[in-house]
Amino acid sequence: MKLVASARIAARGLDANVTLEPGRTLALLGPNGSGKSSLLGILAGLLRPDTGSARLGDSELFEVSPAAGRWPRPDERPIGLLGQDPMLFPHLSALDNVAFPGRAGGLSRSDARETAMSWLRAVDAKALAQSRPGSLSGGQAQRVAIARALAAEPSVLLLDEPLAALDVDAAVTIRALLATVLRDRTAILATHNVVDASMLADDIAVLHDGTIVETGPTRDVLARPQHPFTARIAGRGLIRGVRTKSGIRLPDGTALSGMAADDAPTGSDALLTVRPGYVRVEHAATAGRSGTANSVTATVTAVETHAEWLRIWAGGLIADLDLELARDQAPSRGDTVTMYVDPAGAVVYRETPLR
Amino acid sequence: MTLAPTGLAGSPTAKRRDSNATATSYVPSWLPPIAAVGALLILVPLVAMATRVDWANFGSLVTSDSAVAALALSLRTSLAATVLCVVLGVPMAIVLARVNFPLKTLARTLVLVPLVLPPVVGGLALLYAFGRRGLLGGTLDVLGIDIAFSTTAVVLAQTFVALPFMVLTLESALRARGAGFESVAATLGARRGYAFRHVTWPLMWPALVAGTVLSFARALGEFGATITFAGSLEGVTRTIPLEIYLQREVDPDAAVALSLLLIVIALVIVGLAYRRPVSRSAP
Repeated sequence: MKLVASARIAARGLDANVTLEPGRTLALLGPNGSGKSSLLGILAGLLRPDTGSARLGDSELFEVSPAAGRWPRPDERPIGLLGQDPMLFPHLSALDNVAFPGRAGGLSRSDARETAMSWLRAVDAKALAQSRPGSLSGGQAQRVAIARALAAEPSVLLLDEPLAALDVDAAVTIRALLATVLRDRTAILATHNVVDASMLADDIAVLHDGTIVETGPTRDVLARPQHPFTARIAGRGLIRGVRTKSGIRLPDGTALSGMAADDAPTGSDALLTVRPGYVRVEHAATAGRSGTANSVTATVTAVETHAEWLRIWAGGLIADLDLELARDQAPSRGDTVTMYVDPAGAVVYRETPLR
Repeated sequence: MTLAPTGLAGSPTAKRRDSNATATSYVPSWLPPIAAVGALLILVPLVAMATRVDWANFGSLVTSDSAVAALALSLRTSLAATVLCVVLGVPMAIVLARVNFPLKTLARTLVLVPLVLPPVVGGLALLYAFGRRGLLGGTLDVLGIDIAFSTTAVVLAQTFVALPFMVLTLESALRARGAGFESVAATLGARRGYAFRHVTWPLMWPALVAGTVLSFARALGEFGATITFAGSLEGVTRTIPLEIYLQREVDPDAAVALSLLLIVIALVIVGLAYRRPVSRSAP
């Protein structure tokens, strides 16, 4: 069923609209505190917004406005919620945890357990049936929690950072499980992790300071971001300018060439995105020897240290610098650098505010 | 340059059963002696009392007619008061821990009042509420109920002083756990009643056991409120503490013997309360 929702909470700066097509998974991508959990809580019925409304298929899910108020309790909504913490009931076995929704819905104990067993099989956790939650590892517990959420047979499944509390190995296996589970299921996945979004979601809505700054099919949003914040979490450089024949022209007159992704007319507002692998960074003082063609000279805004390389952010572009080669010549914050863009890796496309 | 593979020092097989490894203590060294002084303050009087027991006649002293009557009355009234504490205390604790309402801080303070009030004052307050000339006395009189100086009064007095133990124990357990499991139950389709029976109740069970045992112990030891509100009628309102107080003048040996009995009961109860909580079966 199609879900259309809008909600506002002034105190948390949340003001967002989401549309979820049936059978698709929408990733709410944003950092901690951007309002992802609040939005899921509102849909699940755990958190009442100042104002808001939602429709699921042909029926109204909730309506909160000064004039009207229809706010069903969580148990009255066909919506499931899987959190970061598995929250298995500690006094019940894994099987009885998964049987809980069936029992609460009025099934007999044996029927509920039978259904629960098939859900445990579906998530490859049959062997854990008799285990107490306290004896399960984080990954095992989340596996059982997924089975329990599915056992409630929700029309829409909400997942709030389901992999954030897991160690690396467990996250890989649970991510693979979720990829299977979410296929053809109507779901919203709140995550700060671009990998989770790209692997699990059909569509992405980017949440920034409580509002959705862009939304669209996952591949489009990540490969051709519209908002600087999206580019930052996608790990891409993004520059705004005006379309030229060979690429874009920046406000200061600098021209950059790249491959055109569409046939927008010259002179129209355009964006250029490029991955760090196609950008080379050099101190501005020593630049020029190799020419300044297809480059931007800018101030370093951030330097991120990785295991074997430095990630340099300057003028909206990102470049990675091998630590071995960089040594003590590595630029630091505030330095002026020249960022060379390889036109083969740069994509130029139309700027469409809030698509 | 080649590197030899390093040993797997942290592998599970490296664990030894006979290991003497212990975590470093962060307790300042001056602290345990003070704790020991505190323990002695409790222990010495108990030992002193044990040394004064007339062991030869212990059996007959605690099985005299008046002693048995007091013991039976104490057990009956304390059990009744404990049941009342559960029936009233569980809703009070849940409301205090989970429901937001105006003047909640005031309500929580009021619940604690019987804990800090001298029991005699509590007894007087009960007398002015439920006594024949009390606030509700007239109404109760019309209904043909006379509470003061009856066994009912004993139970009321004991409930009055024991209730805070139940409410405090349960409320702190509920607040420490938060309402996370209840909201999970709700998103799984459990109505409030079902979630209460199958999530809230089993999860509060250990705290309920502890609160019940503490309430029973407090009810059993109740003296001041009982003697003020219920008087001291043998077989009707004279519980063990009242019997001990009476015998102290008449027959000190009997008082000491009964006191020892009360201490043993208290030890058993406290032991029960601090036992590991029993795990519960599936709903």
